Amino acid sequence: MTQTSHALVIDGLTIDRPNGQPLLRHTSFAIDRAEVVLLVGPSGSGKSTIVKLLGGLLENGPGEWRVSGRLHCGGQPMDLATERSPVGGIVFQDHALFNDLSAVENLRIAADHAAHPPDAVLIDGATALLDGIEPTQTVSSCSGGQRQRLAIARTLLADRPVLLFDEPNSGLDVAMARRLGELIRDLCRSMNKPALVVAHHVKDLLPVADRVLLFDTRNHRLVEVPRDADAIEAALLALDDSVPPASQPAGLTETGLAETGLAEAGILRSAGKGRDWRKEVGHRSRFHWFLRYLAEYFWELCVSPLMLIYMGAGALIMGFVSMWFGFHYNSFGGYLKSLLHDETLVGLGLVQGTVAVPLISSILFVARNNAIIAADIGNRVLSSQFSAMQNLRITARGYIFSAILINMVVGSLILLVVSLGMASWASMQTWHIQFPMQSFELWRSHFFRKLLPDGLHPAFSMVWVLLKVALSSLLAGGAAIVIGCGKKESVLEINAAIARSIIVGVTLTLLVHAVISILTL
Amino acid sequence: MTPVNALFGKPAAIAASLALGALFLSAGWTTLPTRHAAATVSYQLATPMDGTPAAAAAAPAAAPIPVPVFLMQPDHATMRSGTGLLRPDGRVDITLFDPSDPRLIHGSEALMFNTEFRVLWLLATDEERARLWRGIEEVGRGLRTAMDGILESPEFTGEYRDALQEIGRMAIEEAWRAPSTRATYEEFLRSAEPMLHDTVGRDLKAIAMKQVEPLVWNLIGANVGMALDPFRSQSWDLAPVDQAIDAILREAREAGLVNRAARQLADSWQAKAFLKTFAGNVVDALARQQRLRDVAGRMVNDPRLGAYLKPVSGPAGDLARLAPDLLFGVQAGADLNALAAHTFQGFLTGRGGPLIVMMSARQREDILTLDRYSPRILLHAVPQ
Repeated sequence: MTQTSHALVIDGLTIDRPNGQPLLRHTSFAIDRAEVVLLVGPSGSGKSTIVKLLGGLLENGPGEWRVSGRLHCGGQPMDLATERSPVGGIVFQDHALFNDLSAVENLRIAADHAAHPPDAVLIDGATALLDGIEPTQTVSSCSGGQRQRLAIARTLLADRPVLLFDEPNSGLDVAMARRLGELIRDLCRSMNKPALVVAHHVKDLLPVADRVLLFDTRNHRLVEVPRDADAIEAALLALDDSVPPASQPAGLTETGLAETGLAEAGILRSAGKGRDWRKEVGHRSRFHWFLRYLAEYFWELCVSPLMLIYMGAGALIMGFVSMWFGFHYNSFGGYLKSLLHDETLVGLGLVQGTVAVPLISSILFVARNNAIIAADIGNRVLSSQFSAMQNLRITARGYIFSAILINMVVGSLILLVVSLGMASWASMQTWHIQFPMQSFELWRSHFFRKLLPDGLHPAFSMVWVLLKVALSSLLAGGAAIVIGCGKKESVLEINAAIARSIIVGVTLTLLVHAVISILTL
Repeated sequence: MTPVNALFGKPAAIAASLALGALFLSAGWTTLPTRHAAATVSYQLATPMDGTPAAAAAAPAAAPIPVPVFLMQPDHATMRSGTGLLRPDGRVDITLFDPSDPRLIHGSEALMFNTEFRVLWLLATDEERARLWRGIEEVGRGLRTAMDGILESPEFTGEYRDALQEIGRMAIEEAWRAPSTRATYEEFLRSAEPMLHDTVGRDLKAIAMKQVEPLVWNLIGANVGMALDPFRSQSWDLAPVDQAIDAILREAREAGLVNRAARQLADSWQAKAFLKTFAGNVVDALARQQRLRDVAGRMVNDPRLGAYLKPVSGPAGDLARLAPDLLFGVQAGADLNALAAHTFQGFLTGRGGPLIVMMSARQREDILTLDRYSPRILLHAVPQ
């Protein structure tokens, strides 16, 4: 097999499933530059596994997929048994766009994490697909077609040698599917890159395909079939389990290194009207992205208006309830209330400041944020965003996980201060309702006697309060990340993860508060 | 996406968050204690009054100490109105919670007290004190009636009186026989002898000598006839001796000689040691008496005697309800008795210290009429 003339050469590829069943046996194939190759096969045959393998997403090792074989790309040999393939840039079936980023940010983050900063030609080529899309447009506001083009552009900016499309025409009508096929073919020619397109419905894409590979599930091979829809359909029917195994389908030959010429470079020049996408994409450091995610989660987890109202309302109710029911009794004709007034205020201040408000603040904070984290992470897992990040060399842990944990700690402390302030205010006003003739200063001098012994500096016991609030939030956040990262195959599983995350987070919070409160009595 | 986001976009949401955060934090900030506030009014302790115990107890400490300041209103309800700083030189700088409070118009004068329940009594209204006195007198009357009834009851005289008298006698005898009692008694007698000798030798001798000369002549006059009768059968007439003794005793009594001697004896430490030892031994002897415990136990549990306590139970119950209500309760029209709370706290913790009550001049005079010693007068001073 001549390796130098092809963009991608796979030699002797063998893949075993985690359960030990074979997927492919000693398969070799090659793709030339600017060549569009369709990969077809029955549902569940393992087509996407090939895409994942080439995109570096296939988990191999003990208990996982087992892979052997060699890969040659750009003259660089690679042992697939021990190395992850860096050659494929994947356009995922569900696009896997980062829906917390705008359209242009989806491009920026891919460009900033590419092995080499994309040059102007590449940026122009990628952004040429984005006609009709505003750079600041949110992903959710894009149509299906716009999302598809955005996903392709993002993958292009990652500048991988091979473009991998996983069922790109899934859910598209015939006209849209054909236009997509033409787009892929034009891209390959203009970028001079090969494309491997996994497709279940092949008719719409056949016109743009240079070759067609069939996943032969009986013999665990990839075989080349004619670019003929009837022949492909017949071959697929022959692979159906109900049909007894026979000789290879008519017209199938072992795939080889097809002779394909290099497409003429013809970069699309229909970039968005009036938009200098090249300037918009620009270049930013990784620290910028770290701060970007830090700010995003700071907003969502800590200081969004609803969060502040929610925490403020909780503290308000806590302050009111403790002061109202702390005094609202009339034992012994009322004089006991008067006699015990000062010490009652001191006690309520101490309990509220060191136990009640920190606990209710932590529970509210953790319950709400664990739901958000589990939902957010679960959605990223379900929509393959983490896979896309990995394929684009974006370190999800470095950005998302650390941003979440930092904000859980910092946010819990900020909101503790806010809650203490609100609860104190509510307590003071509630007290004044009950003792309208007394000066607020009387309340201040007693309520803070144990919390601010000199009236200015917090007592040392507040260090333990900070510790239990920060620690409970950190542990709960970690639990939410772990739960969110579990395998997700449906929205129902995300819902279950949310519930589990709340329960685990609140339980951890209660335990941490109880243990530290008891230890520091 | 939050509703604010959806309706007005991210800038509006950020503005809303900033506004909410500022609102919550400023609300919390208003609850913090006021720090480093300047003194509103200053007083100076008047010169301590002739070293009375109250004045000595209230003498300023070496370092400035914080003192709670209360305001007494026209109806005698008190409210906490500030904090004072009592300096070593007797100066008191008061920082009022709210200097613009119109109720302070009734607090032009000030007195300093020690934190004790007596303050509540002094600051009560005349009517409240009168009600308390009536209650106390009712209890006293009831108690006397009850005790009279018990002591005169057939149950007591028939079953307990003899036994208690017997127990008392035995205890006194046992205490008298105790070596420690005897030792202190001997010591007392030894000390008494020189004192009596001195009194007799100096004061009584002078009085007696004044009566000796008339006595001689009176004896001669009364017995001169019988002295010349050789057949005398009557005894000597010694009536002048009796008269002289009476005269000596009268003159000694008029001179306070006996009282002085008795007082001198009683003032000696030997006498005090003897009496203390004796009394202690009596009590010890009573405590050792199993019979006393038995008798007392039977008395306490005797339902027949309990019936005689009825005259005191009613007034005592009324007083038990009335006193806390008047002294610790919340006055009509007030919502808190801050002074009672402070006093009660000082009682429980044992850390009372001084307190200042601001009041009108009339109220101050009324209190000083009740007690001129324990309250310390604060004079107006120029703020520094």
